[in-house]
Amino acid sequence: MLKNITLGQYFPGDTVIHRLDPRIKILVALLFLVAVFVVRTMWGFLALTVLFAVIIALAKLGPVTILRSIRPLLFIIIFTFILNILFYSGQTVYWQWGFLTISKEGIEKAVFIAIRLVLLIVATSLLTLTTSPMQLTDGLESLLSPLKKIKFPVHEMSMMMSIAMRFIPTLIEETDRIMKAQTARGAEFDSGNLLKKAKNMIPLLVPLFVGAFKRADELALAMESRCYHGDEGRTRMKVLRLKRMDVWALVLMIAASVLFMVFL
Amino acid sequence: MEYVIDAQKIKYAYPTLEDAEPELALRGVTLQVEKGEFVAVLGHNGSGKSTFAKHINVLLRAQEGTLTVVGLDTADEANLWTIRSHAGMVFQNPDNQLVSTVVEEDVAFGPENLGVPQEQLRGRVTEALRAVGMEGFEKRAPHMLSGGQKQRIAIAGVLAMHPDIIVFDEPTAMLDPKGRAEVMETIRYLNKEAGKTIVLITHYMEEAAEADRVFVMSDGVVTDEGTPREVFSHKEKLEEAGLMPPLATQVYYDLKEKGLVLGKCPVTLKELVDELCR
Amino acid sequence: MPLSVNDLNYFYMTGTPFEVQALKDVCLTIEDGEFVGIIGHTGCGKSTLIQLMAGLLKPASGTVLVNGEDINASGYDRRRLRRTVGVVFQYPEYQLFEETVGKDVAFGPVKAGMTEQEAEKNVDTALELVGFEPAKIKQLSPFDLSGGQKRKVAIAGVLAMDPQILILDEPIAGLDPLGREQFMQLVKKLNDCGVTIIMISHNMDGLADHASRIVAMDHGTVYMDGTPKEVFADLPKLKRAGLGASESREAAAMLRERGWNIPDDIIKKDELVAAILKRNEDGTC
Repeated sequence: MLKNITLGQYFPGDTVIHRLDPRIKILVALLFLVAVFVVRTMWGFLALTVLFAVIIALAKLGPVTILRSIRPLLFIIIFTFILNILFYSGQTVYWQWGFLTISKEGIEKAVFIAIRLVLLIVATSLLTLTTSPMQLTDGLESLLSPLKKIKFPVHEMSMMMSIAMRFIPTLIEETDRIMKAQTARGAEFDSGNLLKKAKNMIPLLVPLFVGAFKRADELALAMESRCYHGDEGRTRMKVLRLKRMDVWALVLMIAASVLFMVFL
Repeated sequence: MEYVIDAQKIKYAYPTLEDAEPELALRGVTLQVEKGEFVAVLGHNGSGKSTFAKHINVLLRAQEGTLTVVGLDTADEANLWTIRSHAGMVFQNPDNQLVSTVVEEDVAFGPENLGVPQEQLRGRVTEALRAVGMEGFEKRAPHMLSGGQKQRIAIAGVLAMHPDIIVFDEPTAMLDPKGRAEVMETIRYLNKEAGKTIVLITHYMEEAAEADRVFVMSDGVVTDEGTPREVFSHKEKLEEAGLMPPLATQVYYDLKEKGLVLGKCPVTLKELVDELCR
Repeated sequence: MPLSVNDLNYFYMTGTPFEVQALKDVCLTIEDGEFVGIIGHTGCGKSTLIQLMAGLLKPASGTVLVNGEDINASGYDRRRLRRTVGVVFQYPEYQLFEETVGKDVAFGPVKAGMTEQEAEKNVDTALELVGFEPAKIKQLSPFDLSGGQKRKVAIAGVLAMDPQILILDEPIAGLDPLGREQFMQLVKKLNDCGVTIIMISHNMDGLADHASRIVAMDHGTVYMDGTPKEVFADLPKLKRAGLGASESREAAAMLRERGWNIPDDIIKKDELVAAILKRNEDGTC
């Protein structure tokens, strides 16, 4: 019954942002990441925050969804924040104890890095929340396709990614089933020390791997029987085509980011 | 008479790891299927029926004997992709034959591999989904569907390649009664309305009862063939093959033993009732 | 050891917009030695019910009592529960993991705290029960066996714990007619030895032949409960829940529609044949 888990953190919708070409979104997300690192002033961060807020609003995501995507990394943010405060030795010292110092510069640095981390997460979440894993794979395959010239297996990689995504829910269900079956035979998965725990996983892992190999075998047969023979001579139903909106979005975002990076 | 599948004494042994004497999974199968026919291949687990099915699609190649599919020799490497595009195959486990996280992309997978021009792909997908009664499910994720629905998506994926023959390798073995009914309904439609040649590998007698002709396989050879009525009435032969006739036929024989002889041997409940109420 | 569930409720995906109630106030008592068939279409809650019965899920509310003791109470000995209640899941062959058949079958007994000799003895008995010669198969790798043999080994792994209550979730899926028949005979034999059987199945004919009681589930509730004759008699009610009866019962119903005065409690082939012969003799049926 774990069927309903969403893959990645895609938040289905039909907004301007959702409809943008995945390639544009990947490029813009990369651009944002660079901007977050290059911008040096509070004004710059403010400008980026406003820009992201506008995109969030356009994508109808709501602040809760965004906050939820930050949550798993909250610990790291707080951890680096505290480390920076305590270990950065600045000029204006407020408090000192052994090698631990709290200084004006330290606090500033800590705040800057915390803001940067949050903005980084938001920028990537904007991409993954509004783009389905399938679109992401297609976008990546298309962006990386020039690498085919140097014999880089772009198509094979994206095929592997999409098959992996297809089988994640299936394998989660299978894990659940095997765990229950072994639990009914008296297996325990959460007791004992680390070594014992690892040993306890064998009744789960062996069947899971045996099952996965069988699936892989059957899937390969099924794909062969449907005439799959790699990228050669293959057509695609969905071909990514840039629309006017995509070009506008890209130009606008490049302009904004460059502006922020140069002046703020 | 035009045979779309013509197997002559084919033999096959799975490769073994050691130098052990390989055991023949097929020990000389001879079997012919006419264009537009609906045939069922019955047999117990391990009878070689699934091994035979994989030969039609050239997933396996006969080591002895000949097999032609739509007039093409399966032994000739050059015919491989042509044969596979003419003879589609649906497997037992619906989970292990869907490749995409989106239904429509999965259905498009086969025709994409064939290099069907892009502008025709959408049409093929729509048409195939309609044929299996799954229109409206284009954007859904396969793992959210029921077993019967998944299996119909797999059928649509084969159908979109426009094959003449569809081989079903125990397509209902992992489904609940509702899913089984859905898949059988689809198979019936594909044969009667869409004119596809159907080869159904199964061990469900009620499913075989719907076929035009039935082959019984046991121990790597065809031990019996004929209409369902003929085959089901050969009670001993069926039992030798580890099978049991459907209930209607069993009742017919039990009645006969007790001295009540009905007109003709029924293979479905409806036929039995018709015969009794005559 | 009677098993009873009282006012059992269970939800999936709690706290999300996808929340569904899988079980609604389910009450059921199963006495020693019963052979209960549980029927219902996919999603009716039958799998959830048996998992709660086996203590593999925790109820949202309500209790599961084995021999009068609440299995979800703190301090209840889970190990004893595992020994008392055995579960065979769908496609059990996928739970094999040990290097040899002997070790795999012994996994449950050892976990349940049996001594080595005790476990050894139980392994042999269980392997014999499912039709193997223990000495011949124990040293083989389970992964070298055929699909049907693997399934038997997996079932032996549950039987070796010597459960008094055996729960089976559609155990005959994928088996051929002979395999199905053999399996039903095995379950029948266990039941004759006093093991309580709770079996989810779509195979109405098998249940008509062997079960002593049938529970039909629908939308998370107990929809029908009675002997096979009682439950299969009400064909219209079964159909409303998307279910059917045994083929013999279906045939009898069709004959009745054609004007035959054939009783509603015919569920087995032999009964059907007898009724037809009776009508043929005296024309009264």
